[in-house]
Amino acid sequence: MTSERWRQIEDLCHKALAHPAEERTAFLATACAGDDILLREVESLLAEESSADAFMNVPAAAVARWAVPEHATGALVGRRLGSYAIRSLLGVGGMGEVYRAHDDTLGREVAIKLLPPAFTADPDRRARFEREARMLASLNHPNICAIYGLEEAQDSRFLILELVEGETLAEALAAGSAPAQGLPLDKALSIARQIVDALDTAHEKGIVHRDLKPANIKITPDGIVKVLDLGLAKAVSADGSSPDLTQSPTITISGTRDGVILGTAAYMSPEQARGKAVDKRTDIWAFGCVLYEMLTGHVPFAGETVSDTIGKILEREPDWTALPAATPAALRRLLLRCFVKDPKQRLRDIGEVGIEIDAIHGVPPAASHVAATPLPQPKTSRTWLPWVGLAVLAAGVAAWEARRPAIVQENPLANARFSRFTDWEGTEGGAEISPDGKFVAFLADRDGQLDLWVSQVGSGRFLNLTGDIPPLGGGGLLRILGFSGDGGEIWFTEAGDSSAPKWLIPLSGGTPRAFLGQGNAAPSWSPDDARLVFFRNSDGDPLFIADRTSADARPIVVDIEGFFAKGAHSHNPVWSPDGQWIYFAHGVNVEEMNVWRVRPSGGTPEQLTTLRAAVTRLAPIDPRTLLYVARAEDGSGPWLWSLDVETKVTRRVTSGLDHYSSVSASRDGRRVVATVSNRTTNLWRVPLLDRPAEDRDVQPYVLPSARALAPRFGGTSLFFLAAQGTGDGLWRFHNGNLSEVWKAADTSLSEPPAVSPDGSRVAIIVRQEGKQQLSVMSADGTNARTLAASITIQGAGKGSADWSPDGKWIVAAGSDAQGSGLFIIPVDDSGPVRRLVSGELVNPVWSPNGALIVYGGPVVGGLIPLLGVRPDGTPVELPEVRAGQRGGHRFLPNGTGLVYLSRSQDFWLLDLAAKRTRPLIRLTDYGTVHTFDITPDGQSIVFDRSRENSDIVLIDLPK
Amino acid sequence: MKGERTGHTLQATALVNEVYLRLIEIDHVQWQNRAHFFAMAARLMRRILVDAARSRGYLKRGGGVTMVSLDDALVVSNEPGEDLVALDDALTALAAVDSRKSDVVEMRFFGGLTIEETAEALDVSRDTVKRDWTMAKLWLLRELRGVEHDDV
Repeated sequence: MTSERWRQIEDLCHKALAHPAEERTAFLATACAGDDILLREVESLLAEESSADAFMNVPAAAVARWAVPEHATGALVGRRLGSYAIRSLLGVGGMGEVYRAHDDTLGREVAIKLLPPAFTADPDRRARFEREARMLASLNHPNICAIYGLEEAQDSRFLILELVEGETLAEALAAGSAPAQGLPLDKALSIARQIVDALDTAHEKGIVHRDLKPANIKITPDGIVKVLDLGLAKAVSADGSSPDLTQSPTITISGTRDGVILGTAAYMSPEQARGKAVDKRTDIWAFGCVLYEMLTGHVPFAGETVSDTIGKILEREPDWTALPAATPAALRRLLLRCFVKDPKQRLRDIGEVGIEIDAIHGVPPAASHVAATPLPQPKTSRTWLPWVGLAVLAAGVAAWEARRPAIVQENPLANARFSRFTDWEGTEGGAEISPDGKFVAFLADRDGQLDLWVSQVGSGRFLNLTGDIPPLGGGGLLRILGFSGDGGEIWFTEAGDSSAPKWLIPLSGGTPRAFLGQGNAAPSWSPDDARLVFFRNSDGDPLFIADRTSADARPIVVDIEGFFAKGAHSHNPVWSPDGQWIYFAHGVNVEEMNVWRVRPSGGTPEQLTTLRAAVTRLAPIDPRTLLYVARAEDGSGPWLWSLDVETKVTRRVTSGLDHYSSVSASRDGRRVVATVSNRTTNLWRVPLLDRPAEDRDVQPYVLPSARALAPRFGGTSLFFLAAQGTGDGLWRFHNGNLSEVWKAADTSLSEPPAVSPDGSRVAIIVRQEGKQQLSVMSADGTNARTLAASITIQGAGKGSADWSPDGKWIVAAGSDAQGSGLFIIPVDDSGPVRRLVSGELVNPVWSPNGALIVYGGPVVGGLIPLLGVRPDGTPVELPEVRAGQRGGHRFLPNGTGLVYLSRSQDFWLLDLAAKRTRPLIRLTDYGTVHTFDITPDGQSIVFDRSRENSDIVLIDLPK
Repeated sequence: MKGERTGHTLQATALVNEVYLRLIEIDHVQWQNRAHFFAMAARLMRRILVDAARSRGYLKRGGGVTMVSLDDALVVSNEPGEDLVALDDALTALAAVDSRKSDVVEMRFFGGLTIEETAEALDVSRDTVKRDWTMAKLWLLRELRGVEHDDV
């Protein structure tokens, strides 16, 4: 039959079927137009129509009872297999039935797993399985269900396994209330930790589980976790590149939908789903799935159908909002790293997961986390000896171990000796160490202003090199001082501004000489002291290479088009100890930087981290290891991190709450100097008096919170920002009770919230998808939604949004497609967003009577002019008042005046009626005020104040 | 299989595991995509079921096809092996006429895929799968019934 003819037949069939049965004969007679053969053909097919509905309407497998092994399910109960008396059916698992049995020879209870007949029949398959089983039997760990042996009796082959009592994790999760809630954090972490131990042991031996899922994890009544069913794992080859790998995990049946044959594959990694080679990183993915399910009660990638599920695995992110609010940010990050689709970018070492969990769980690194003493491990020799060459196996493992790269990254500071180099009151910072490790230079305000100090390690004597020139200023993100390549001079910048002119001053003091030129920053000399690298403060912050005196400067040519994007930054370049690379921090903004490297000759730069965090100082300590300072992605820190540039594994190397704001290493990498700071931020209250209040009038505003900033009153509530270990979230203090309104998951709030006048709703400025947005929610954090998504809110740290007294509007500083300005936003989306004023404006506040909005105009001479506008856009002339760049301004509750913070951090009152200003408070105590508010009774100012005590720490690494 | 006796589910599990074990034996195969994976799984399912049926002696009798109680046999019979062997042959014959229709049957009936999944696997529209499915059933039923027809 020609395909043309067949198409004709098919076409007529479909057309005929579209006609009512009684019309078909007539239709076909006409359509076939005398072609009787065609007519007969079509009619013979249509004759089957009545049978077609019932035909193949249930998938084949569902009715194919006879296609499975000879014996019926559970048929062996009460019978014997060799020396095993079969007691009961435990279940049907990965490959077949599992029975509970008594080993008469050794007098113990065991589990017996029957293998499908295919194993007996096919010699190749059998041999391969025996090889695998040998490997698996070598696993001896309290958290792994032991394989005792592989035996054969009565034409059946079966595995003898350790009998594990208890329920599976799948059962434990299903036992919870519906809808699924997940397990308590503590329990989940304890289980997770033991799974990690099991996988770690397996991975160490090159064994990948490949099928980790809750059904394969058992929890004994003693709380010990046993990982089951490594039975399908295959020994991964030494280099991990062999294609002889399991191509997919066990697919288990799911009864969720009629006709589903291939059940959920929810724990498959993307590479498994794609049929690519898998390695231990597949287990890390699956571990992430299990951990996520323990926390939420749901699998992270769930679909209606298998293809749905796999589609989600390949393309979607898990629903992060399903994680309980109390999930620590570190745990969220851990999950994030487990669920990286590309295995190359995924967390690659399960041991690292263990370290993270210990940190979250508060377990000291050395402590044991196995809940009870390990169960005695039965000898395996009896069943294995006939066919296992143990010596061969041991040799193989040893050879594999030898070839295996050191994957577990040690903490390079693990055995280092920390000593305090300065312990002065006030601020020390920016510490740099000389190439030979003998001198330390840093900034300190010991003599009242920030000066450049130098000291020889061990001498105990400190020399102020800049006591007779103007103060230098802090400079947080960029290096503003350092040693020359020969260690004989120190360079520093004027005024602590990275692009300000630079000077070189001899180590012993003397007259500074100009160096490097304006606009160039952060010079670093090559290890052989022949060359210099620095960056230029201009578009893209290009890197330059020059000779040691900064002459002959030329940009490093980077051959990725658009790499140095407009507005992107490349900061603080440093040389690798072997001079082969230049490491630098790069990112589109200083809060979202990563560590990169490029050859000194240029070429393609390589990204080494995937942090998107505030990476600042870099300090290589050996050709492979880099220490650096960065905030965590949740905004906490800055902390000290290490990076293995070969594996690109990075980890935080310091614990505790001390912040690390700088790091520098000697040329041999054995001595490191860092700036450690301890910052406290709390709320204070000061009464509004007839006279200017003084320091003695200031009292702590007592809250049951170790940290508090950005206060805002609303109704009878006080809202403020605070952190529990991670980034700052929003808290509410109401009727003596403290509650967390909004949790910082992977971001940190820095703006005070806008609070509705009755205190029932709040709006926060939160960073999402790379831009700051207004998110409005009930005072208890529920019903959160993004408001005016088209507007990027301007974050200035002192207030960007304020609520109208009638509760219907929010005024916010931000920008839309037309540029920056102030916007009036209807809270209930009841109308369009309205542009009120255009320009780079900050901190709009709404007067209590609703008639006036006061905001900060563009900065003039370091001060912010206060400007007024009516809600309808009419400008209002205010007395000329200039406020400091911090703190912002707030109305008195009765609307008669406006309180603002001057540049010198004193509070002033603008009396709107009298158009006069007067000082309210003069503070002499040091500290930084970011934000304040007036108490609802109008009697006091509540303000936040940060105090920092920073010191220089010397870290000596073992030789 | 929801609501069916537990026995069915357990057997289906064993069957699926058999498919799995065969899949993992296909070394060096790089699945092009998930559709490819399911197509392969469906083909394996067909092969396993038919092999099992053949091995149990459900050989096609005689040269012709003498089927009984076809209307419901494939659906409810506990011994559908005979039908399955015949269906396999009929399907092979269909593949010679229209291989895509044979693929549709393989995926829908042996692989248990939905219309949508089959459409995705074959990269055709859902309507095409529906039409193919209808046409293939008519053709196979006629073939199985042993109705004489013209090989035009």
